[in-house]
Amino acid sequence: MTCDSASHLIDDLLGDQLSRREHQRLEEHLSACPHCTEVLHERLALERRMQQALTASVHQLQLAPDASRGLLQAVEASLQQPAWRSRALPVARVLAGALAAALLGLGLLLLSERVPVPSIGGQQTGHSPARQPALSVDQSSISFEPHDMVHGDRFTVTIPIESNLLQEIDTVRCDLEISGPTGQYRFALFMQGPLPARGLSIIHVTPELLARPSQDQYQLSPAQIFGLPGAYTFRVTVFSPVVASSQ
Amino acid sequence: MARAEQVSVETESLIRRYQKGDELAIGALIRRYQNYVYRLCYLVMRNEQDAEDMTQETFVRAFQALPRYEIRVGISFEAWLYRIAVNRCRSRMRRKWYQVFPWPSPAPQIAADLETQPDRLVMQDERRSEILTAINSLGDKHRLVVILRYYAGFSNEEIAQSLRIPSGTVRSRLHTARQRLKALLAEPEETKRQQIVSNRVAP
Repeated sequence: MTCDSASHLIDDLLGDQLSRREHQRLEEHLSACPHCTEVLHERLALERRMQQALTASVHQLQLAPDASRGLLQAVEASLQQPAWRSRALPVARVLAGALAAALLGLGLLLLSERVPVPSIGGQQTGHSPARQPALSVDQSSISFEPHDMVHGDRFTVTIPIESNLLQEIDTVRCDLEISGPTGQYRFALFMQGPLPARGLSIIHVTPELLARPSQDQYQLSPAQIFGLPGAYTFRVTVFSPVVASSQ
Repeated sequence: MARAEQVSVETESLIRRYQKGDELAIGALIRRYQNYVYRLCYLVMRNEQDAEDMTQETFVRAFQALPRYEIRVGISFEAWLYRIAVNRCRSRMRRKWYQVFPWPSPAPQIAADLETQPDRLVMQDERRSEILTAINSLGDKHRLVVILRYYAGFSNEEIAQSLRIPSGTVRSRLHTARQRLKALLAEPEETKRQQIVSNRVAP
């Protein structure tokens, strides 16, 4: 056996994919080859370090009590769906789907002659009128805890975007402006969909998201933005749907 | 992470109770496994909010499928949940839900503030942190197989089944990931930093 073949067998050994015969052949090679033995030890050490690092990074992580309650409620709610949705015969489900699609198509056909093409601009500070196709963000619902940021704290900003458009869209630009003791920062968030045509979409802005490198390598860390204790305010502006190529 | 190779007696009892219509078993099963799933989701999604969302989606799917779940020797309930979780996470990642482009207008005093970061931000175990940073710098394809192999404890075959990719692809991705990690951990600090940024931008 060559050292190259042994290297492949070491990969398989570590991936629990080695047959008894291959195991025996590898052992024979290792007993006569100090180089491959060293390679095996190195790989085992790297594996052990990766296991330890991954496990240690999350071993104290626990789902927050309110998230745990939400989880139970979501599961119970999903199980209370009408029985026919989960147990009906496939034929019945296909027919129901076809009927729904036909009705939806008819509805869209009728609406398309009366409703203008969606066009949204400027800041939206409340729910849009029910009959006007629009994307809107309700500023009053933007949650940010804790309000008085202490340097290094974790946070999540939840931005609810409500849509009553006629069709789902690929990309939406949403500008986030953060003002506080360290200055003013502006982020352009390009949300890539599909964003549902109607209903609420939630964006969660987290430190990891803000720290993600941008295309031009310009990068801000949460420590930069929230480098000083104090009150920070957020303002969100939703713009018209844009196509991905315009980025 | 040590992963049980088979369904424990307590879990089996809860699953059977649920399959017979005992709704109290739902809460018990969730309490028992929510943190397992949450931690995996956190490693994959790298933020708490997405991890919470994906944990929720995982359990919703799992309980919908649980009436048809068959307890088999050699396949643990954790592995089954992990498989659902990783597919929910992949689905979320494929949507590329948002990208952020900071506008270059930081306040001038920021650079000075960075010099005075509190000591508690310094990682206790720098080496461990370095490995984690290196793993997180991998592209999603390679990062995912590394997490499933070294955190979830999946074999190559289990990873292949979970991700619905050929076993040879798993082997190749793990090989590439190991090479990159080895190189990254051996590089000088400055080169490493640049490599991490470049890997993230173009995985």
